[in-house]
Amino acid sequence: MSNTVHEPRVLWSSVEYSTLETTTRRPRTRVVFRERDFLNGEHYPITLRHLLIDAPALFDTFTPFVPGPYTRQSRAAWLANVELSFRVRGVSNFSRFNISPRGVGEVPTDEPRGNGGALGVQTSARLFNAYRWTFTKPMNLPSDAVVDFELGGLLAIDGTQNLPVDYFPTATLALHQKGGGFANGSARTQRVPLIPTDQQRLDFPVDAYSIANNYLGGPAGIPAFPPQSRFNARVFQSQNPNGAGSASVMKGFSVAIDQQLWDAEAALAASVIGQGAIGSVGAILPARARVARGNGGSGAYWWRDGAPLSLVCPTMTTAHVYPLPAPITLEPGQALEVVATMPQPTIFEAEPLDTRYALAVSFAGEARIYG
Amino acid sequence: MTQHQREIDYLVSLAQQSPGRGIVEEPRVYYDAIRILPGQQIARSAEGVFSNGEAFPVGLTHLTAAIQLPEDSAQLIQRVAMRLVMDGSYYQSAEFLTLPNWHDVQATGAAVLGESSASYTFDRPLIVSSRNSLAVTARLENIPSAFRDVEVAFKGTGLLSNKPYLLSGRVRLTNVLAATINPDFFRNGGAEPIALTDMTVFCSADGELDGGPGDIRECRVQVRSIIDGTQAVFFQGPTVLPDMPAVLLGKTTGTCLVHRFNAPFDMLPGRSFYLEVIGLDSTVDDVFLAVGAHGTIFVE
Repeated sequence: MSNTVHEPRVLWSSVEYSTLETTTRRPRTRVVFRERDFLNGEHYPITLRHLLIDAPALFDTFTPFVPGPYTRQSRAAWLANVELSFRVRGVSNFSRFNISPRGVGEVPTDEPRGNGGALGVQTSARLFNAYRWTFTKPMNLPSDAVVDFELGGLLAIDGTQNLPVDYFPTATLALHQKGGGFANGSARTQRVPLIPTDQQRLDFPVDAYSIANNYLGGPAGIPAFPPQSRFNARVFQSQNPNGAGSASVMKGFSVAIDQQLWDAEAALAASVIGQGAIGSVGAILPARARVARGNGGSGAYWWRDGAPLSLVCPTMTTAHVYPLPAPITLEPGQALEVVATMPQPTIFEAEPLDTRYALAVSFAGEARIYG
Repeated sequence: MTQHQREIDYLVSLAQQSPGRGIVEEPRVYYDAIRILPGQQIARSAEGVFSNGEAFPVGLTHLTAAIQLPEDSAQLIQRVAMRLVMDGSYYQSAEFLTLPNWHDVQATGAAVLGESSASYTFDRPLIVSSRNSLAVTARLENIPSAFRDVEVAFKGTGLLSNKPYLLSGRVRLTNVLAATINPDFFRNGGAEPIALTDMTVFCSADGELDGGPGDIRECRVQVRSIIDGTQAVFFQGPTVLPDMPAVLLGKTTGTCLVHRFNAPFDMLPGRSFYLEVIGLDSTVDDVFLAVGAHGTIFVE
């Protein structure tokens, strides 16, 4: 086995922008994502292979009118109106002009639509509600290596923070391996509750998720990654499919979330407070995760805390995924500069409307850890 | 190549756990509909269903699964977990793995059409020789208010001319009895063999819902070669279910779960495996899960 280990890595960031920030002097404003979020601060090169774009907005195709100081745009709106560019400053530009997400090649990553949840309510609209990352470079696992996988839930709708535990979603984690059984494959799996946690630690603005503008936050005292939602080392080792604990190769992971009951109750809660139609609730941002590998490799978390699952799973996700035509390698200390160009404000009765765009971008790949 | 050399090559290919190539290569799907038992009891597939009862090896590559009618909610598949057992070994794990975690192939069809049809790309082309035809039968799960149209199409190329061929036939069904689509639609009346590469099944909406989307789960199909090949049915399941749920054919595009094995594995003659399934809560009690194991038979 080679001494080089490929560990997954995701660099991600988010931005919220109000079109009122646009001035007449600069009709389209460039917004720079936090550069430290795309910095390779490790000792190893990171090779990035996929660009993922997602918006934490609750609405897919329409922008509902919500009485209040501003309007939050739908996913379809930002897809049409926002442009991106990225470069490694002083090293390389990757396009002469801005990239429109509409015009960049995309791969199929989403699932069939469901035909209604367990309660017959069209809420979480995906048939399987699973997220998956199949690594381009599988990760070698020594016999005593472990993978620490933690999940945290996100509250999406005001009014749902007090739902009883019976309605909490459940998540099934699976770490997929080559070898260990016939058909040359195996999986280690655990089913855990997905406990809604304190939203205040999120990068996304609170009401990017909520229709209401007066969301007060989640249950107090719940850690971001509760121990009940952790696929820990003991469970991982107990499911080693190889006799005598021999080495294996991890080819990816998947997380499937059953939130049908939760979504039905969330829809009811939203209708009670008079918010009307919801669109695809919850499927966009059900959970966040953090993963690290122990007893070998770097021991570092594979991405910065707070990333939603949709942004760290380029194989199956609700985010838009663009495989880079050629990988980008960030040497230690290098950073990507990612810029979003936002549109002009909409004018209504001679006054500009305050329109908000919330957008998140991630780059997924792997770090080359030399042994 | 001498007979001796052929025998050596055959043995070597078996030893490499790869059937290699055959003189005749036909699709094979072993399928079953498993009733999920209440109380999280383990339900097992029917005896002898996932078994190679033929005289030649079958190389399996994919699994597909879907919640079967009459259950309306296809999303209940999120509450079912499964494991495959063969010779005392488990796949993918001795722990039951929920079905959404099995899904690892993007096979989503376009809106509306994806719900009404299932497309299947053969692992190896199916050769239909001149003047051969295919016997295709279709039946419905439920009696329609008016009727449903079922269309089956095969796509391929001529082995000599390399030109495209489309063999397509349709039948209008008004009850749940099996009906054979006129074999003339699938007959190769030309002067060259046709290598068929894909199969698509479409089930329309009930005739009273003019223009509405169809539901591929309402339809079952069966196919066999009439003159050439093994003349055995392509889709083999329990005797009480002579025709396979068409939704399981969505290995390329459709609305079923699709899992690709890390490596194809052999079902040598007489080998078998079974599936064990549990429901994760009471909402899936007595719901039927249709599962298909897909591959190719290699006839020497």
